[in-house]
Amino acid sequence: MTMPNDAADALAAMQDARVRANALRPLPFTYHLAFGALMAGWVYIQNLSLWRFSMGLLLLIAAGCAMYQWQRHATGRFVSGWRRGRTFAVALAIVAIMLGLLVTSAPSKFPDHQLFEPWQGAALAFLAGAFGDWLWMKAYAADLRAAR
Amino acid sequence: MSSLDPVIHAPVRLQACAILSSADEVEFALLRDALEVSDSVLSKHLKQLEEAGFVKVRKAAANGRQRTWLSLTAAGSKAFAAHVRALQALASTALAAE
Repeated sequence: MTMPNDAADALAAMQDARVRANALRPLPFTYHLAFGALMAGWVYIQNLSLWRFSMGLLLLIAAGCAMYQWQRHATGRFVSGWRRGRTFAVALAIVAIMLGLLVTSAPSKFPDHQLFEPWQGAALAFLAGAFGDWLWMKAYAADLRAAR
Repeated sequence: MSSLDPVIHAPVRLQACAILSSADEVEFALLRDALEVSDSVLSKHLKQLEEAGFVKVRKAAANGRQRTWLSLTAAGSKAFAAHVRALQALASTALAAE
């Protein structure tokens, strides 16, 4: 039979195991930069002609698939971006910022809302995407440390 | 109140489930290194979890090497959550007694 102190020890061991697994094979920093580049590409292609937009979209989908494989091989795990906890708020913020940039830097689609030139929107998307992805990983690690 | 699950209760299996619950899919090698056990010990524990329907095992070839990927099934997630709730209830009685 499990005694109360054994139960507390088991919970602590579980938490340690999660944190240890996460620390063993961290995601390389270049992955965050690549994620930022993916977001920048997504914002930038909105201003291209249909033909170039289609080509750009195919390239971005291929890049997304390559990043999926990269994450799995680099870290030995796959973690979906949409999880409960702190990470959910970070994921929502990234989506909101990207949609905002998309609307305010795509004069061909949203001429009344233009705040940035397309290249400026893409540059901001790169910074926000790279920082957001880095922040997401920090939030994930914090969720693992807090999980009981 | 939730009760302790005898399949999950063993320390290695409990910690394996904890790691699997923190990701969508985890590679066998990472789980082995995190738990600091041998291949054979981990395989034995995973077999028990798989037989109980708690863990799904998927083999995939990458760069000419066979890799084994593991994930918790819906039943596994449910059983693990119930087991954790039971542990938390037990642990809280220890805190209340102090």
